[in-house]
Amino acid sequence: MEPFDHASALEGCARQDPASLRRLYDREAGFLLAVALRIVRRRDVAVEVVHDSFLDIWERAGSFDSSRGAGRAWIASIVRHRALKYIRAAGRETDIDEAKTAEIVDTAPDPFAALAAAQDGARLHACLAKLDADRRRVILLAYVEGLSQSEIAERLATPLGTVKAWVRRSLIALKDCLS
Amino acid sequence: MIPSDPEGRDVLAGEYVLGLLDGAATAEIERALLSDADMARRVAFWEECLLPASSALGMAEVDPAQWARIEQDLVTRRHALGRTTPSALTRSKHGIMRAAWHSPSLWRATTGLATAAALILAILLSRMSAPVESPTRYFAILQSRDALGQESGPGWLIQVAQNGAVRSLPLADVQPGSGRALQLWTLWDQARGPVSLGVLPPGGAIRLPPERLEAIGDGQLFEITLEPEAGSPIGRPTGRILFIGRAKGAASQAL
Repeated sequence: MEPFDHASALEGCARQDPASLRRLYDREAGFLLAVALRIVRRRDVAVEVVHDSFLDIWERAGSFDSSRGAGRAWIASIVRHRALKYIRAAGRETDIDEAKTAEIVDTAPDPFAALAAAQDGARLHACLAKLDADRRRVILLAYVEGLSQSEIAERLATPLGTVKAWVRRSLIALKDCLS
Repeated sequence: MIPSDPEGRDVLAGEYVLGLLDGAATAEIERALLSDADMARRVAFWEECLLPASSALGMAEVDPAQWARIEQDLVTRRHALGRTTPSALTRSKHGIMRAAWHSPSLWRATTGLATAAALILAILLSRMSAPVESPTRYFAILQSRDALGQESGPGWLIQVAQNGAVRSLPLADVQPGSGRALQLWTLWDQARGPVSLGVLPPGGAIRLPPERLEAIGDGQLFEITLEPEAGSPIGRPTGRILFIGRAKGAASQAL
């Protein structure tokens, strides 16, 4: 992909320039939809999440500070938090069309394997590879799939306290490795 | 509690970015991020480092009609914020929008909305000064305030009648969210602090009897904060300020 200056597009949004938001949209809507879809697992909901996120990006662009972090990470985190808010509020189990869910999960790539092949994924992949497989899964289930700690505990058939301890230790190890 | 040791702060920032904190802890860290630059950097670190795991998911196919819906909502929102002051709309926002929005159909819709907004304001003001009412003694136009404390234009109108009756009228569409409510406060004595005028009903429009307001004067502060559904449990504001402004004596002649 060609380089894209997310920070200057966000600065444009802060100046109320709709063309800047359009550039961000053209560049990132497909990526952001994939992120939302993986968490909410329903296309109609994911589309709404991305819609609302672009309105958020427009309204909050003035608070983006490029000295603190990258613009692409900033917009992705808006989408993730919106998607997470939705599934926490709706209750993941109650409102999902089973067939649609199965379809999305079956065709979704394994995030750890995908990371190995991704252009900018080498460093994170190397650091995740140093963790035990279960601990690595905990981080990716939370980050990529948006599972809560109790959902992870259920998925891995592991006590909640253990999952919490794994999260903590994995984060400390990752911080050390990624810094 | 936000920990003070670097390791504890990294873990909390990481848990926040992973989405593992509950609602209360998430709200606490989001409040802290507004003023705690160190925490904001730690959060940004995780957001950046973990991003490749999101990028690795690839792209989903976007509905070609989606951008038009976003664009439409942006136009509507601008006018929800701007509709108290038609003169300000024509003065600044239209100038920017005319230069910025290239789509002629959007531009037509926008102009229509601005006209509608001016009409709404005219109707609002004429209703508020209806002859059966006690005449207005004070107005307060409260400015909308975002999570960073930036003011983004008029959002609420408070009217205090000659007899002390208070009317509260929202000028923007505000959803406090489930389990939350908007609460109206006024401050005339710094030593006493803000006094509650009550929790606002859904929609926000309310009329309060004269006995509710103990004092009113020029420059008196009014504010609306985000509180638990039943109102602040401690008798003073606990949540962030959504709207804030000062009372101003109304001109004596009729509109």
